[in-house]
Amino acid sequence: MDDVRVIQIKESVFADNNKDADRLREQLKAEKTFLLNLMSSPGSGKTTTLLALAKELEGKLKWGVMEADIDSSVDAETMLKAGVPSIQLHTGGMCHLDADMTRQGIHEFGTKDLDLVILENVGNLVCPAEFDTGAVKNMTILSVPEGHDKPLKYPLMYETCDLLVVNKIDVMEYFDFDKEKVVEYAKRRNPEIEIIFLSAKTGEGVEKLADWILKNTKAWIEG
Amino acid sequence: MHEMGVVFSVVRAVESYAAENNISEVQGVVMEIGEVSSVIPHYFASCWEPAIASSKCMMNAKLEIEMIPGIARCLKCGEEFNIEKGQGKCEKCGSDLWQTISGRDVMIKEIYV
Repeated sequence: MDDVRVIQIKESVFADNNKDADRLREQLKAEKTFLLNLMSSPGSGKTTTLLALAKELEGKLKWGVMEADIDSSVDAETMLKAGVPSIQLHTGGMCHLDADMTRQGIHEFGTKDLDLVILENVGNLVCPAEFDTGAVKNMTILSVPEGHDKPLKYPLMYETCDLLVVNKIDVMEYFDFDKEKVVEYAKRRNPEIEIIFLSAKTGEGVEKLADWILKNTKAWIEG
Repeated sequence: MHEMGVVFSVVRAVESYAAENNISEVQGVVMEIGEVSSVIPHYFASCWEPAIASSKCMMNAKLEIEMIPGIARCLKCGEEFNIEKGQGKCEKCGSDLWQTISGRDVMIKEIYV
């Protein structure tokens, strides 16, 4: 083995993905499309929140949804039924989306005429936070039954996100959920994070989320 | 369990490096895995064999893993401490306000050819 050579590589395995993500953001900037990456655990109410948003955003901007799941197309069908253009991406067993998969989805979907695309990532609090999808902003939903200590258990998710939506506040009284603690824990991991409390079911607070989205979409398109 | 995806991206990266540099056989790959990177070395290693099995230049490549400690800097007192040992709290002042400064990345350190 005398002839073995050692070659220094020193390359992050995330480096390629980060480059792809930056390229996708440049493309979206040129096309004036705001891409919002929505992440959460399974069952936190991502699709229900999007349905509630559909009513609030109607007539205010042109938008669509990319649903990413390991399998099935129930989420995209649900959005289509509500009149929101949507496409289903299958990750083929992968627990997250990377920037290249997102770019392929954007291409297939044809988003040039859309002001806003919401990417509903695979329901998972770990892996999606590791991979930059090329989105302009990241948001996560934490539902009341999951507990207020989630930011302590999955710190990277909260470090990565610009917006935390606390969903299912209509059932708050049945759970030991501490509203102040969730704010404290999320800010501890990310002092910049914005937080909105809502119930996708009753509609309470959905308007605030719609305003946040409209404000950020406008800033991206006009900025 | 995203180790599988990460292992395949490592194999792709090394393969393309080998192709660009006219390397016909890679004998080993040394990875640096951060303690707080969310890639678990045991799972990473168990994905290695299946990932290299169909690679022409890497099918005999041995995997070595070096762990990089997860180090944080306290935002209150400036102390640098090991995140896992400190269980998420500064070892000096006990604060839980800190920033990770190393141990989050997963790197291909070097290859043997």
